Amino acid sequence: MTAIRTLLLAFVAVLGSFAAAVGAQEPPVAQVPAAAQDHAGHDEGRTLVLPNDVFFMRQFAHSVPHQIWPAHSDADPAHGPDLFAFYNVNLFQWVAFGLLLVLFVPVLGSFGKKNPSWLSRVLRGWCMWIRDEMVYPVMGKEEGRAWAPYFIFLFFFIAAMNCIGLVPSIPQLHFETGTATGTPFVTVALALVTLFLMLGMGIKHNGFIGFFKGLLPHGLPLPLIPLMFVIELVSLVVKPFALTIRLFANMLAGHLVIASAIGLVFLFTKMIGGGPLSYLTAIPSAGLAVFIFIIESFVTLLQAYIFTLLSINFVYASMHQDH
Amino acid sequence: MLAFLLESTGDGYGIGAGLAAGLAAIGAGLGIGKIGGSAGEGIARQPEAADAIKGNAIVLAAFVEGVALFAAVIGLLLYTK
Repeated sequence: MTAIRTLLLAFVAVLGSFAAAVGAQEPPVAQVPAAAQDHAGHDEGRTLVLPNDVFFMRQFAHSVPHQIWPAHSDADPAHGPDLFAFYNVNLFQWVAFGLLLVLFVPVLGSFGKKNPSWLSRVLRGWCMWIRDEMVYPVMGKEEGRAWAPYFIFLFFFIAAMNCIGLVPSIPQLHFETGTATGTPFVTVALALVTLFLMLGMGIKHNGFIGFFKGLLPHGLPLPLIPLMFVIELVSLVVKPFALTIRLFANMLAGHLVIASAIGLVFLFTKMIGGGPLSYLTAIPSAGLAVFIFIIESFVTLLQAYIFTLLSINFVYASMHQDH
Repeated sequence: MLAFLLESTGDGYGIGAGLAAGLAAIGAGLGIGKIGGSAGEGIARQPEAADAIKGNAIVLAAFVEGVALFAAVIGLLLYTK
């Protein structure tokens, strides 16, 4: 079991170093104006002479995924996007998946054993908690049994991607991390799975006609029926859309707040015109950033919890439409 | 501060983005405050239901927060327009 865990850790490490290697080639940096190029010798000077909006744009350039394979093919606009392009968000989804394998393959092996390791016991308890506190109260024991594995995976997959996003990048060492859930493309895919589950399981349980009939409340006056049908159809699509935006905006907003707290150092330094006094402005700014970081590490798990819980509720509600 | 905002974007979009974020924060603050107040009251009246109330309060707060974040995203779109 130790051998498997070491092997998987090596797999994640290889993926990570691959990220570092390709992240170094193509940093997602906005256009630096020509005036700033003169000062490119040292980093402090370069950041300080950037205009405010360029500095701000650079902070959330990482919410736009950049292509890492094949490299630089998006430089040619006539070429169009590659069908099998590999973006950095793909990479960090695989890293999250590898992390889950590292954590959970030993759990799988620990069932026959007498003394599983503490990590296996924690993760087993966590899975039990998701099943007993999130899936069963909504779906009931008989139906929930079949659904629990998917929602356990969903929770840990989102949580792993969020947590990887919290690891700071070190550009000097060409080590870059990315938040896969901090881009709308990944969260919309996760929400689409929920939408298709809602539609598919709803139609499977109620029949095609019955599902769309069941969207309407009972005892509706006849003239209202077309209007309500449209409203219910819209609300069916809006639910996964809200899931998308909630997860994406929470992750992006947290990173932006941290970046802005650090950016205050440069703003204050600019305002007071440099000098030794500017070192003092780093103390409250870095303290604020650390405080936000602690809140963010709570939010990573909270958003995974909310996404999973709402998915459970939506899927169950479309299977049993008795409102 | 106004001059700084105008310098950032060149026109009034920065102000609009700031207003979007600020007004959304007012609304979300009122909403989450009401949820938190009611949850605290409920727990004080019925301490044995504390776990259920806490879980529901967090989920409801997430709904309100989601609406505020829609506004924040629109603010970002305005700013980066």
